[in-house]
Amino acid sequence: MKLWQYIARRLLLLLPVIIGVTLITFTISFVIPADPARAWAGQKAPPSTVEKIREEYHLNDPVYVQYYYYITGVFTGNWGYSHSEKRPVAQCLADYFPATFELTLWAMGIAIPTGIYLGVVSAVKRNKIPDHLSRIFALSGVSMPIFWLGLLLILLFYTYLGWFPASGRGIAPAHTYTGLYILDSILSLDWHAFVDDLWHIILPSITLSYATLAVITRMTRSSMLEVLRLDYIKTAKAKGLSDKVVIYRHALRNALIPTLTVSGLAFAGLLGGAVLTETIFAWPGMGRYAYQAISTLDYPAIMGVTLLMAIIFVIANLIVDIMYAYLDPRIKLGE
Amino acid sequence: MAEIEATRSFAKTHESQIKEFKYILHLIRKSPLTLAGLILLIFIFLVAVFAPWIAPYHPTYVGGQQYWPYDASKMLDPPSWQHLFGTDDMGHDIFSMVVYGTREALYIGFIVVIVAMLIGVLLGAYSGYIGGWFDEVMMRICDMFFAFPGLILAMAITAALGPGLQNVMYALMVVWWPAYTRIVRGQVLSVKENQYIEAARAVGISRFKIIWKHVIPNSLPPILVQATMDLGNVILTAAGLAFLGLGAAAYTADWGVMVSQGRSWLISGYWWWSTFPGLAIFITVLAFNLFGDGIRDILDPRLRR
Repeated sequence: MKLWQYIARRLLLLLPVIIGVTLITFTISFVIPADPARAWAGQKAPPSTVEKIREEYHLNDPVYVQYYYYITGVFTGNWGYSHSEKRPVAQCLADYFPATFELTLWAMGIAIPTGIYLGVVSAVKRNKIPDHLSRIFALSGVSMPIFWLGLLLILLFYTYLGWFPASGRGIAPAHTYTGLYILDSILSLDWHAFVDDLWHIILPSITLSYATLAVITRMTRSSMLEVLRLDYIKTAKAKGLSDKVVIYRHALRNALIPTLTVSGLAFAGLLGGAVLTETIFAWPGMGRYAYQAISTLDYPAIMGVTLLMAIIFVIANLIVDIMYAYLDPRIKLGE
Repeated sequence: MAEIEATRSFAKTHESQIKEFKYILHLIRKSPLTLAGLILLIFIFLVAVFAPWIAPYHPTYVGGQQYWPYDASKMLDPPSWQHLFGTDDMGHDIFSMVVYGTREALYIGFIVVIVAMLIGVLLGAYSGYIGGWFDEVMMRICDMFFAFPGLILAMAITAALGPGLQNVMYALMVVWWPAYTRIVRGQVLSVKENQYIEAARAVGISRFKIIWKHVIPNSLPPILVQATMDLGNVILTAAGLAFLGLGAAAYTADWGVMVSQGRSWLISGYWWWSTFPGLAIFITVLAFNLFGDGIRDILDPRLRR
């Protein structure tokens, strides 16, 4: 099977997964004790208005009809009305998505290279001091409450040292092209905004990256250990190649494949972590939107964020699978 | 005399298991990180059990709600000999609350993991053993759950059910059962191929009995390792939900709630309220991870070199 056929097949398989996801979110919205019609109409609205809304939103129909309307809504961009923001959920999500995307991109950008480097060092210096240090560092990463880490960083770098700001995304760049502040500030040559935005993203992206970094370090270490025992590495060493070439050219290439898979899975942690990180750093993304929605009982907003994050996660894993197939020709595509 | 005889015959019939167990103990002793995890875990359990003797202050319960003794004159006192971890904005003793919080964290962890494991063992074992459409449907349902980032799904469910400790636990069970179902199923698929299962079937033992007496006991070790690591993860996720305002009520001995409440004071330099409960979460989860990690390596013969 060719790569493009594989991609097409995987894209097609995406559909049932997304339908499965909507089944779960729909079921959860069904559990919600509050009467949605009453919530939309407001406490003071007369019963006739509530009844009208009930009719209009098909709340009197049987469950499967409601699900039909729900799923057509999902696919046509009608994700409900966010009463805390007084506008459609889809609009809010579109506004908040770039901030979350920018933050997770930076966190990934920190986590992947650092994690791979630490993993390699750990494997090469197995059972020596650098290995012990990096293992403890990695285990701490998967054990640390992300919100607590964020608070400690704020305490140190904002309250005591005053080096970095503790909240928000910084100055909006002069022009908006992508919604990613730092990229936009470069594109619009807004130097002032660039520095400010960079300063703002440092603490939150470090906070968010730590857990992922830890996962990548651990995976790289164990897959490097596997690879380093193989015969072809011995051959490469016997040929007289330098350690650097053997480790980075020969071993790491093959060791990276499991790391790639794990980074796809770690993306879930990143999205979940984004909710906590954005809450701490008042980062105006989807996570903070969800947090505020919880305190105002804005259920359509919560369900919207949940659904969108699940879809993003599914797509991220699809991308990882495709890269996987591309990188490792041994893998029989489509099986 | 009969007792000695009984012990002797126990030692004889279980000789190989006892040997294996001794070998595992030996390996734990030789792995400093695993040993550290084990010692930390014992310490944490002791703190939970002896909380009333360790903590200088104690809560009272009115209608299921926890109330702590407070002293308005000691608002936000920094750590001192009288209040080891300082006080919060009502003058509650943070050290006592952190100590009592150990009980709650372990309670959440164990209940959620045990329930998720039971559901997983039950569904996974049948799914793997019976196969066919039941297996297919079960696996597709698991896939649906795996499509969500765990914390996000738990957040949505808790928000729908309403904030509170009970609902956090229900949500975490919903999030965690598919992982066990899948692991157990995989285990069962490999165990099922063994000859002793075939032998059991040949002598006419019922399917139910084969699953419970032969398949499940033989697939337990990797499940228990997973459970050890998950205890930490569940505690961590529960703390995250509490931090988002979905967990226990304010001013209760819940680590996540305490970090969340102390957060707004931390920026102004009152660091102790959030820091100590957060440290407690960190150490507890770390202990479970250290121990689980080590045990996994030890139980996996491939990694014993």
